[in-house]
Amino acid sequence: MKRSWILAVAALAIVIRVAVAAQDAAPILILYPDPAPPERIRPILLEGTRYVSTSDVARVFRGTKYWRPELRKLSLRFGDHSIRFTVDAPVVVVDDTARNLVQPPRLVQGSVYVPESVLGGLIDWGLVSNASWDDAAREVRFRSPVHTVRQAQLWVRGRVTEVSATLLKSLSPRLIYATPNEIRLLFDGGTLDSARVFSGGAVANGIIQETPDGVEIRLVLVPGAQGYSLSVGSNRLRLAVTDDQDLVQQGIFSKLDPIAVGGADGKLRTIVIDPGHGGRDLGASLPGGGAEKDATLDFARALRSELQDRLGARVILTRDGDQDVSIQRRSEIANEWGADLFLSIHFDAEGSIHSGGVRVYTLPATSAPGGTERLPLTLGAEGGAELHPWESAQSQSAGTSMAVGQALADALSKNYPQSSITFRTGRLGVLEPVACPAVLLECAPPPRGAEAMSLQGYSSGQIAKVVAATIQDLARGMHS
Amino acid sequence: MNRLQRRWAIAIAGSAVVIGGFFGLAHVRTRQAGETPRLLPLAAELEGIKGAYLYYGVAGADSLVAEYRDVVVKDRPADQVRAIYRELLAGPTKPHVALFPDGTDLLEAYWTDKGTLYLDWNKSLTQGFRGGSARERALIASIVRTAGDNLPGVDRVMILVEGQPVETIGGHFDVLSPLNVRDWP
Repeated sequence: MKRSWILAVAALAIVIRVAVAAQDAAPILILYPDPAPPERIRPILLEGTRYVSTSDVARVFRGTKYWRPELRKLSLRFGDHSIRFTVDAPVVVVDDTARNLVQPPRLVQGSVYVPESVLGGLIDWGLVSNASWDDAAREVRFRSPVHTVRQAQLWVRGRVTEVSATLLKSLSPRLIYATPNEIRLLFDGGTLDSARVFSGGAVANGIIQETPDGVEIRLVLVPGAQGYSLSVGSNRLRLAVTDDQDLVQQGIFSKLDPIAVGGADGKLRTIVIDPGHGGRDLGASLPGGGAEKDATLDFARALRSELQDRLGARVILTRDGDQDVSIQRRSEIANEWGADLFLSIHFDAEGSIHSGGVRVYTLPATSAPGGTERLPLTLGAEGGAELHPWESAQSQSAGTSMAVGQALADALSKNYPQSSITFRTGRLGVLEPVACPAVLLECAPPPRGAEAMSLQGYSSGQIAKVVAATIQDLARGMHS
Repeated sequence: MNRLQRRWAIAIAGSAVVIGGFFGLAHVRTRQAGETPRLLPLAAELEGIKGAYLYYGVAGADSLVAEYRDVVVKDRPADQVRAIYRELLAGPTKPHVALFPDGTDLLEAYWTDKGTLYLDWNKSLTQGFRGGSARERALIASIVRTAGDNLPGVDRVMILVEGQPVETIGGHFDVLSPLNVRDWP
């Protein structure tokens, strides 16, 4: 009887304590724009006032925090604005203006805490412009940024399929390539309200999405597409596709031409394959103890054999043994031989391709390295040779390179649907000086053990066959 | 007072003691927190503490993840840069992937008024690197984003090794010219 009393009292005390603690530390809800999940930060109660940690404030509002313990001063910087607190002083300096606080900042176990009302102050005083503070609900709500490309839609009108979007500012899209299989368009530096996937009419599969380079529209077309039309008004983008040959012949639509790999006559005569690394440069360590430099050479030799058999083309390797070749020399070899296509081969088993897969890279269809747009120089008064800066020679072929890279990624995805096949752009040193379409392939070696069972037919030799067959299709203008 | 009344009295008194104890303890803790601040045990030459976003790799993915951490820094901007990158080099505190090769150290940092940050690393950065394009890209992005997020005014990052520009860190990406912060999201 006595024990039950004691237990009851103890339980009551615990319930009361939990309720009080819950009230003290009721969390503040932070609502970020989609897709980031919401977050809760927990204040502490000091002398009847809720305080939040300045570390939480800096982290949530992406500010930089600087704390001088000997001066007991803490500053938070948000872009061009700053706020300076002094521990135990109920005055803050916002930029150059002094403001009062309801309670002073406090130092608690080495961290500076400020009254919860400072969250509203940051917004009211103009330090943070992309969020609002709801005092009643105790919520910080971040606004979605204002997007420059919005409301993308697909329309089908008879034999014309149109993708339209609203532009909030004057943006010039860059047509990266337009082939009978696919159209790719990029708004440099644009932002998108929401990624969308659509299909209908002449578009088998379309996507508008944000990439590191800007907003990209990619339309995979149904067989039979003949022409396209691109118009950009002050606030409207219209990208139309048709399967009506008459509209092309009348000049209303531009003709969709196959990817132009090969020389002036469209023939692929010389292909340069670059087995990555070599000599003292071992490259990545592969599962099982192999070195990347050996795997790239084996793959390059297999690919050379496939391409010679299928195309009868001259295929040059930048190294045909275990030797050091500088990155610059690899590009030089491609340019010296007048290559029609350059393929750099790498192997890796980390990240998204740790259990099989291929990353396909090209340079982005944007400006030259260093952010400087450089134009080709012309030698001779009339029709002389064009000189291109060495480090940006690839920019002339970047669109075609992306088309080839995407075609290779699509073909590999079709053959290995269970593997991670990605196409991406990046500042690849070996591709920048190459004056012809250039792609870097990074393959994962076949996985071992149980994972290998689910990847039937996945081997370096098979990947080489798929790559060679795709290049053969591209050379014939038959890629699909 | 009969036996039942005595039991009631004991139960009520006991409850009062327990509840009072909880409230009293909470009050003392609050007062202690407000009135007797305790400084972190920091080095004598400490000038300040800077909150910093440090970027690390994610196992099985090609992306980066940020860890927010307090870094002990001195006043000069170059000292702050060194402190932030040494904290980055120290590695993640959560189960994320450290990206720098073993033995890598930041030798010097220079900051131009045109917004370019020069980071001079020792040879381990390039000689010790063993990885593919994903790791190399993540390493470069970690260096560039750590600068972009924590050092207001830095727009570009130039990677040097023992005072000299290098073609590449791991044989894939070109780092011979300054890297724009916005190009390495």
